[in-house]
Parts: sequence; structure tokens; C-alpha cells
Amino acid sequence: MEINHLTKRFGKMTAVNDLSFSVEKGNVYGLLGPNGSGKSTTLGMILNVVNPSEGDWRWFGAEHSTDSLKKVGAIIERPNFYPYLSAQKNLEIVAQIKGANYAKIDEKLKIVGLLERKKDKFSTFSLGMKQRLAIAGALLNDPQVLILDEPTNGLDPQGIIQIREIILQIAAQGTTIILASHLLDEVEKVCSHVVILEKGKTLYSGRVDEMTASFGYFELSSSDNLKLNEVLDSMNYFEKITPNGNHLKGILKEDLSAESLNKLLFEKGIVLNHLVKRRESLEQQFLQITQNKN
Amino acid sequence: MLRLLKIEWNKIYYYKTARIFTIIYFLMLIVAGLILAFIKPTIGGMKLDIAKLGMFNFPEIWQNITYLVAIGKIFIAVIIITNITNEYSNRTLKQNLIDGLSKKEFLTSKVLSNLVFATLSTIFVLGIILVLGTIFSQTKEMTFKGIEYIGTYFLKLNLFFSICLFLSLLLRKSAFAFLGLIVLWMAEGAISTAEVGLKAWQAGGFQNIDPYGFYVSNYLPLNVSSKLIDFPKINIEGFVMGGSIFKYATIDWTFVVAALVYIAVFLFLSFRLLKKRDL
Repeated sequence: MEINHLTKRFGKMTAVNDLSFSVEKGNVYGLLGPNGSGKSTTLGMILNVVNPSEGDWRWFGAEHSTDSLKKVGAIIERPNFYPYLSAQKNLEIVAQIKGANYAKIDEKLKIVGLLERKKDKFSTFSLGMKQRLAIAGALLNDPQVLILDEPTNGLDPQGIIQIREIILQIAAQGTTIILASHLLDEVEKVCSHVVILEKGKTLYSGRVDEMTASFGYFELSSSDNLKLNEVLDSMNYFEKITPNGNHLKGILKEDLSAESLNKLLFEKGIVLNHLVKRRESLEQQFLQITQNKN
Repeated sequence: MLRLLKIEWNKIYYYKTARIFTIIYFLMLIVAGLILAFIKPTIGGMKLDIAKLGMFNFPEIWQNITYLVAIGKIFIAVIIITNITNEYSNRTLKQNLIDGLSKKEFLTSKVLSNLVFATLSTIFVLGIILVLGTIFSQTKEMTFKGIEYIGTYFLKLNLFFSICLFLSLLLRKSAFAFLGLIVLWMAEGAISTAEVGLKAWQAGGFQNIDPYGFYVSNYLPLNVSSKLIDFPKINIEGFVMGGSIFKYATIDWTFVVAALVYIAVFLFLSFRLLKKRDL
């Protein structure tokens, strides 16, 4: 999928400003940005429910049409179904729209673990179940692209884990996934590529692991932190060493495993009582990127 | 087309409340026929037998019955408005479009269900008229003279349902769609009254004007709907002479043309609304 110069204005407000990016087959893309950054509007436009002010997009290398949407599965913000119909009937409507076989209904209900509840009305479902039914609906036609807008919004931890497991399972089968979220760790856990939006503009677009070229950092402490600091300084592995509470924080210049650091320090007569290697979380990287651009 | 009908069938038939009211509506059509035929109230010691009044005589029966049962269209209007506004409140319209239904297909599916309701009602009414007419008509000849009222009944339902469709899409909430209908009805009533009043004032009294004459306000949408099957003309003279109280009236074809134009306009406006608006 390819998006070219997509723009949406609501009166004077520009929700999406000249957005362009492309999505390649088989990858999991994150669309990341704070609330109101234009994520849902962007997805709304490529899904034909919001009319764009300018720009265009292509699905599967061809001009977009309603037929291309039949090869796409999408869940927008919250599950939308007929509350008075059973899970089965709701999915029958989806199947009729997408031209999918009714036999798929049971298969997909099984994937999301709702097969036993298929005769029950949608209105009796919990939010987590509703969201899982929405995923079953999106998967009904074995889509090539799956679009998820804040799929774990409002769910309890158990529900969040269930949804993430389903997403990873689908990604493992080679389905392209576009995941919009304001939750950084969600994107980090699931996505290989990320597009960061703020106020309708692209701040970053590329692989998640290339966002910053950092090698991570160590958090460590021993009974004598002053001596530890000296020794670390002399080792030339670190860009900067700063005290961080009872620990020292050493930001790496080059790659070094926790095991070899521990060994090196032990050889110099330092016994550590705390050693953790961390990478900067996406959250920190995200803040860094947004600050750099401002 | 069959696919769109199937989708609508799932949306309406499996909605328990809609299903029950649809069944009640069709039962009501039949019961209305039975009541008309067999209830003979006694008023002031005089037994009133509407069959004897010529209610079921051909050809007047076509107009009389279609005029009476047309009020039942309100039932179907409620189902249509609820069905369409629900698509907004449940946000299923958005989901349908995301799933790959085009806006044109969505509108077509709603128009098709309107057509199905209108067709079924028309078939029921045709049956009722034929049964009542065959049993009670005092004039057996000319059975199919006046059958055009069945056509205008079908058209009347479609016009009314198109107005409901448009108001539902415009206002998106069922309560407001009904209010819209009431406002339209009262506004047309007010305009009609004003026009009649003006004509009477110019002519120097209400006795000098013809209530069945030409009025511009008759061509407003809901007025066109009611003019398609006008209030049956009363013929006191004929009744006194021992005949029927009702007088056969022909259809004014200008209202048929106006109805067709209005249906086209409302469907076009509905489509534009759907196309232009973000969801």
C-alpha cells in the first residue's frame, strides 16, 4: 500500500498534513502518535469513510476501490456490530459484504476463542470479547492487510495480552499489519516498522530498531561506587557515566554484553551487587524524536 | 442485488422488535379488512352496515380501501427509520463501508427493502380488496375499473418511505427523524391552510371555492402522497336515491408525475448526503 500527499482539513484545522508513506508486504507497521495526531483520520481516509481534502493512495499497486477493501480487514477504534444479532449473524453480514464463505465463520471464531458463544447476542459480550469478535470479522476473508486502530484500548491486562497474542499469531502467517496506537510499548512489542505522527505530520518513518543507533546502557552498583566509577571510566566502553540513585548509569559507545562486563570488573577486583543491561525504551526514543523536531 | 437483499434481511428480520411489528402490521391489514366487513355497530337504534352504504362497491372500493389502510404505513415508516438510524448509532454504517460495501450499495440495499415493504403491502391490500369486493359489492360488474388505485397506493408508500429514508440519513437519530416528519407535515398543513384561506378571501367566502380545485400547496411532498389517494368523494344525492354514498373519482395523474419526481429527488439527495459526509 502506498499513500501520497494525503491531506485532510476540518475547517481551519489540518488533521493530516501532506502525509506520504508506503507499506510493504509481510511487515508489521506501527502508526504512532499522541491522541489527535491524525492516526484515525488517516486510516479513515484509506478505508473510504473519510473524504480526503487532497492526495491519493493505492492498494495492492492499483487504484483504490471498494473492492480493494474486501481484501483488507480493519477495526476502527471500537467494535461496531449489530447489538441485537448473534455473533454468527453479525459475521454472516460481514461475509455477505466481503463475499466470503460462511464456512470461514466458525474457523475465525475459533481463532479468537468465541466458538462456544457464537449463538449469543453481541450485546451480551464483554468489551474484550467484542474486540475479539471484531478481529474475527476482519479476518473473515483472509485479508492480505489487517488494519487495527487502538485494538487494546479500554481492555483489562488479560484482554490486552489475548489481543496481542492473536495479532502476533496473525503476523507470523505473513499478513501485513498496520497498527495505530498511542501506546509506545505496544508498538515496540508488535511492530517491525513505525511511522511517527504529530499534528498530522510525519516525524519519523522506518524500522523500529533503527530509530536511534544506541547500544543501550548498563545500570550497575557495588559496595564502593566511587571506585566502580573510576574503573568504568578507564575502560573506554562508555560514552557517559552518571549516578542514578544508588546505581551508576553507563551509556555504551559500542556493543558489550553484561556477561563480559561482569567478567572484566571481577578481574579488576570489583564485585557487583546490581547489573542490568537495558536498551532505551521506545518511549524515550519517541520523546527524543519529538523534541529534536520541535 | 440478491446479496444486498440478504444483508438487509439479516439486519431487519433478526431484529426481534422489527420482526414483531412487521408481522403485526400485516396482520393489522387483514384484521382491518375483517372489521370493516363484519362489525356492524348500532348507532342511535340504527344499524350501520357500511357494506349497505356502498363502501365495497366496485369501482369505489379501490379508492375506499386503499385510502383507509394507507394509515398503516406509519408502522413501516417506524421500522425503516429505526433500521437506518441504528446504522449510525451502532456505527455499523462505518463498519459496512470499511468491510467493502460501497455507499451506493448501502443506499441501494435500503431502497430495495423499502420496495419489498411497499410490494408486500400492495399485494396484501390487493387481496383484501378482491375478497371484500367479491363478497360485498352490490355491483358485480366492472371489477377492474379503478385498479389504478393499487398503483397509486404502491407509489404513495414508496414516496413516503423515500422521505423517511432521506430524513433518517439527514438527521441520523430516530427521534429527530420523526420530529422532522412531523415538522414537514405541519409545515405543509400550514401552507395549505394559508393558500385555501387566501383563495377564500379573494373569492369572498369558503362557500365560493372548490375544495377539490387546484392548489399549488397540493404539490408539496406529503400533500402529494395524500392526494395520490384522495379522501373518497361523498354523493349524498346518490345515497338518498337508494344507491351508494360514495362517488367514483379518477386519479389526478399530475400527482403521479409529482410523486415520481419527488422519489427521484429524495433518493438523489440521500445519495449526495451519504457521499459528502465523513463518518
